[in-house]
Amino acid sequence: MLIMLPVVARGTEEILKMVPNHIREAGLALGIPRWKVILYILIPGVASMLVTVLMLSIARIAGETAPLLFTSLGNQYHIRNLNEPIATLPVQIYEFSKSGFEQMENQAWAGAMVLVLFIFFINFFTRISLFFYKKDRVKKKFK
Amino acid sequence: MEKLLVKVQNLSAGFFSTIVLKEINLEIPAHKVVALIGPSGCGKSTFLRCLNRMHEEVPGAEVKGQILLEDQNIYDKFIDPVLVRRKVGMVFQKPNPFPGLSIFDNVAVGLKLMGVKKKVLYERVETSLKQAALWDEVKDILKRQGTSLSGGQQQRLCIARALAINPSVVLMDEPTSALDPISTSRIENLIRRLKEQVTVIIVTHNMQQASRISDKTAFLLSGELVEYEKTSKIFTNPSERKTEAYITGRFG
Ligand SMILES: Nc1ncnc2c1ncn2[C@@H]1O[C@H](COP(=O)(O)OP(=O)(O)O)[C@@H](O)[C@H]1O
Ligand SMILES: [Mg+2]
Repeated sequence: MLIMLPVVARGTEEILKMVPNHIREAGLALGIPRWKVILYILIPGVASMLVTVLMLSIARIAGETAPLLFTSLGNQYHIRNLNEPIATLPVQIYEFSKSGFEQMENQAWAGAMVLVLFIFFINFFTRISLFFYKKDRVKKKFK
Repeated sequence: MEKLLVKVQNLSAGFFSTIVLKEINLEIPAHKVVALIGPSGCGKSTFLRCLNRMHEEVPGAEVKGQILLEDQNIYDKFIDPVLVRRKVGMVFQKPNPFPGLSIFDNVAVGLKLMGVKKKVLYERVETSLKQAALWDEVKDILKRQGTSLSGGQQQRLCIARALAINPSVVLMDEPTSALDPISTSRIENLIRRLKEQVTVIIVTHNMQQASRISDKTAFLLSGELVEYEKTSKIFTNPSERKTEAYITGRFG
């Protein structure tokens, strides 16, 4: 998950830059310190965009194999502490698919399926919860 | 004697050593409306933004001289601009409610972040919205987004937001230039009433507006203060040729 940080940070930065300057100035002119303007005024205005960035980053890192070969080093067994090499799904899929044994290749397909479903459900639940969140707001509007 | 709230002394300001304001001296009495007029680019916005230390938020901004607010120089080294801005509120040309925040939160957020208790919050929001002549229109829809209001309502919301933190001066930079005539006259009426609470310094391009709502008028021309007088005198019998030329529309 640490691999996600730069992507999320960049995305957040770009989105915050899109907020028009007069909104930032309005916050400062209210006598709100700069960091509070960002945290409590700019971020709520772009919350839904930030969720999208987060989702895209999760999807991206879940499929990112190459850096994991060097960082988590790949381990097929249970781990006792976090400093040991650790198993990751993308690396496992890669290893299994080139193994040549039919059973392992099948497992590679299963692993790929797990990855795809994982990403699918994360997106699915975010969309659903955003949908109900927005619906809730619309209802309140007309009460 | 009227009480002087703001004293501007030898104020010069600019960007990257281009001088925009030249040695401005002027005194602003408490509980009055002061209008600032002058052609585009003469430095009106820059002057306003010096008064709440927003000028320095722009890259390359420079300021010299001093501005006393209740006899305290707001440009003293140990003064925190954040605290100056709580005393001197600001309303911008374009209505700019905070997106993603409700009508209530737009007004409450300044107080909330200052640590004001929830109990007091509702009362203060109601008072501010009433002062901004918006309460009756929004009291049943406080949870709606601030950005869902009409332009004129948004501008009054911004006025309420500025008033909520209890400033002693409110700066307004052409607050009605983006609004229709009905919204404009509503805002003019509320500015006249605001004098009881605060001092208003308003930039306007509309001479009728200046004469309708202000007690004193300052005329700026290429960064210099040409004339600063009672509004009635400026508009009927200005001392300076340039002032007369400007208000009769011969230039600018
Ligand atoms: N951010 C900036 N950087 C450099 N120069 C600026 C900036 N903002 C304004 N100016 C210059 O300062 C002068 C005064 O601008 P301003 O105070 O906005 O005038 P007004 O509000 O009276 O139209 C103008 O000549 C303008 O070009
Ligand atoms: Mg201007």
